[in-house]
Amino acid sequence: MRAMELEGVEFTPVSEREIPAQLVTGVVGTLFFVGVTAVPLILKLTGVWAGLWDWFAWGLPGAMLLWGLIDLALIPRQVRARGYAEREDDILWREGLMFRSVKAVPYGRLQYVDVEEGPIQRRFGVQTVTLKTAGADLEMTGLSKAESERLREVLMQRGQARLAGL
Amino acid sequence: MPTPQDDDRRDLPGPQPQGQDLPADDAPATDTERPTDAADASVTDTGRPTDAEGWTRMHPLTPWVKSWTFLAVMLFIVGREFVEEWVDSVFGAGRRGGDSGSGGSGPDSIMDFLPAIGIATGVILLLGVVFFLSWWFRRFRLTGTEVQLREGWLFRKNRQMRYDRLQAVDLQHPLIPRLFGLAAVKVEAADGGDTALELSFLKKDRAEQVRREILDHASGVADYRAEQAQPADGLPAEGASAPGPLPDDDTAPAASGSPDTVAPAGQPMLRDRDEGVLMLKVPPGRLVGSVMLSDSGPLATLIGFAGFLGAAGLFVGLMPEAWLGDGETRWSIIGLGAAGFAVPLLFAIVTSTWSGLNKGWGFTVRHSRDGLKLRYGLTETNSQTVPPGRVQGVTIRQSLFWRPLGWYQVRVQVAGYGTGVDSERSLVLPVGPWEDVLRVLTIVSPEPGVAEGEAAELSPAELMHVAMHGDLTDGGFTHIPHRARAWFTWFTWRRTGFLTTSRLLLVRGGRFARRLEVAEHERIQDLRIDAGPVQRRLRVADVTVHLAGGKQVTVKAQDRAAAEKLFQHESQIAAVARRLKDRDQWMTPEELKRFERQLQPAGAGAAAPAPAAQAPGRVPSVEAGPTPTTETP
Repeated sequence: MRAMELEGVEFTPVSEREIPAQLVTGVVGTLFFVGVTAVPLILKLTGVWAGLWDWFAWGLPGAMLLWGLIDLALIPRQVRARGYAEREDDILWREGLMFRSVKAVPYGRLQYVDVEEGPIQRRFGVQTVTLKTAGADLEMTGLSKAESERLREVLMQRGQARLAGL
Repeated sequence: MPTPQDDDRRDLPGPQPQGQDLPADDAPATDTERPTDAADASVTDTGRPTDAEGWTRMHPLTPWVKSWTFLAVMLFIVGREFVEEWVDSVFGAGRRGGDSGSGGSGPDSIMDFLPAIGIATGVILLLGVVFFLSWWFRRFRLTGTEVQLREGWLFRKNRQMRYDRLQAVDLQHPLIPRLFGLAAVKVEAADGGDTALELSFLKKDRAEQVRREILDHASGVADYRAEQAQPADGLPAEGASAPGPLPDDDTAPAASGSPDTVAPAGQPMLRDRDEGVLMLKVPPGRLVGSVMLSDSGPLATLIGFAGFLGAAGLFVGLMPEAWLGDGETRWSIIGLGAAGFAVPLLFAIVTSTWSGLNKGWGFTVRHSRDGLKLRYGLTETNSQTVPPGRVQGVTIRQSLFWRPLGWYQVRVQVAGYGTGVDSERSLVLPVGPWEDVLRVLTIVSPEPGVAEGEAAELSPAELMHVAMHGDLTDGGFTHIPHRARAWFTWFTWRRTGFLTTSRLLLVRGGRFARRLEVAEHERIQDLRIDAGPVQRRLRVADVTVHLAGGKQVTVKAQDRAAAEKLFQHESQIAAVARRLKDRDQWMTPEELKRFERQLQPAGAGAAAPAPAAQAPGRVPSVEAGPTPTTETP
């Protein structure tokens, strides 16, 4: 079964540069958690906690590593599943591989638009645009810098033009 | 001491010179002679103690009342020490005489207290000074466009709120301030759960007056009055001289459809025109019953507890003999377990029952030109005003045990009241029969408008009834497809569904406890459609719409085509709904005139139109009540 496909909507995928950015973040995160969960193993190997069960000492970091690897393997597909579509009166955002969702934010309901970038994102030239309405937030991660700048301008303009209030 | 935080307006007319000596004089007085002080203040307070620029201070008792818990604890500790010492010195003199050289003679023991008295006086003085300063620097004013509040002495804060951003205005009388005749005015903006601006505390009358003023500014009545000031025979003047149009609230209950609530029908008294028309009252008996029978009430809890006890008893009864310890029998284990759970359970029941009763006590709903006026509370009385056009969504519920009694509960979503259906102030009808629900709906919910298909012939009242009680495709609803029932919707698939009319999105759900959520298309802020892996296999999807203030309405597991159609439809409407743009003021002069006209016959006949609509069918049509404000061009 394909992604949620609304009739006549063409989604623009996010920047491909988001993939390496997410991979780097993912690797760092995985290493960190594997390191934390390896503490019992280190204690066992150094003899401080010799009585610890083998299966637990090896299994904990092992499971964490496996989880991290699966996560990393899915990143490219997850990023490619993301996309946005500017329609006449609203903007759509699609995301999710297993749990798919499409969100719609009418321009007239925008309260403000945030553009953020983390240190890793900055290296790869991608940004996160957050659209805020009175109801909920919409986070669009992985837009190229030029694109997010353009979106911010355009969205604010359209928001002004179509202001709808609460 | 103007700090860097001090803002552009630093016009404090002369607090500094007085600030030096006044606290010392004033502070002890505030404490020791509270009653007289209060009386004094009331004299100045009702007479608008405003300065040249319109700034008004709160009531001088405010800091004392606000920190009453702290003061009470202090008083308790100090008092206990004092009493103990005294008891010791009187009765224990002989016993302790040996320790101290100076024995236990009378004058000496009073001397012993001196340091304590000194400390106490010092603390009171200090508190007095601090409280005086906090009172002195806290002031508010109402300008033509906004409410302004300033507070702080070292760190200053200055807050403004424009009237057109106002979502609701509430008047609160918490227990302790109430004893002193004080009240707080809470002004809500669409910023989630926090109160945007709290004016506390003011004398009751003054608070009422301030609220009135704020509402007049916000609704546009004040502007209108200003315009009308020149032709003396304008509408407001007429209203002021002859406040007849509004019926007294004791005559109006006839409209509430519950005969047991009708108060002795006296002569219609002339009342403040703000009171509005009484729509309904919740009688104490019904309230008690509803609290007892609610889904989280004592009955439900006890049934759940009995079920749990039964299961646990079964387990203990069947478990092998070997698990029993020394001196234990099966019965002793069960007894111990039951007792262990019973105590916290009892505590939970008592607190939840109390809070339910306390909040719902004396619940009355009035309809006035300011929208819906609610009044309720036992120890803390609240009076809420929800302006029309500020209600984002409505939820009707019926607990399982309420079904035989035909009771319902109605909540509204208002952006200023914060998230969650359980946010206490969202309750506009704690319990009432279906007629009461309809009566409330006439005010808080717009006409459903034209429905498609089956529902097209239904009147609004019938549509609501079917929406609440029906299942499957009753009333033209779309429900969860049969194939998807295995995915956590075994019991609810027949009921979980939605219907769109030209103005509303109706979402029903709940098999045992019924639920109906109503959202106006044009109030939808944003929306989403989701499908997980299993849902995709079943070709279903969830659609969630978000309303201002964080409320979500989810239509679960609908057929994918239907869900996508709904998503497209709603996103289109949400996007192009621009009508509300200019509705910052909800009373245009024309509307005000129309509203007063509508109230005229209602007041003249004391109980003319509403009961008439009431009598024949027991099902009043939704148009029965006056709905001046929900209709927009």
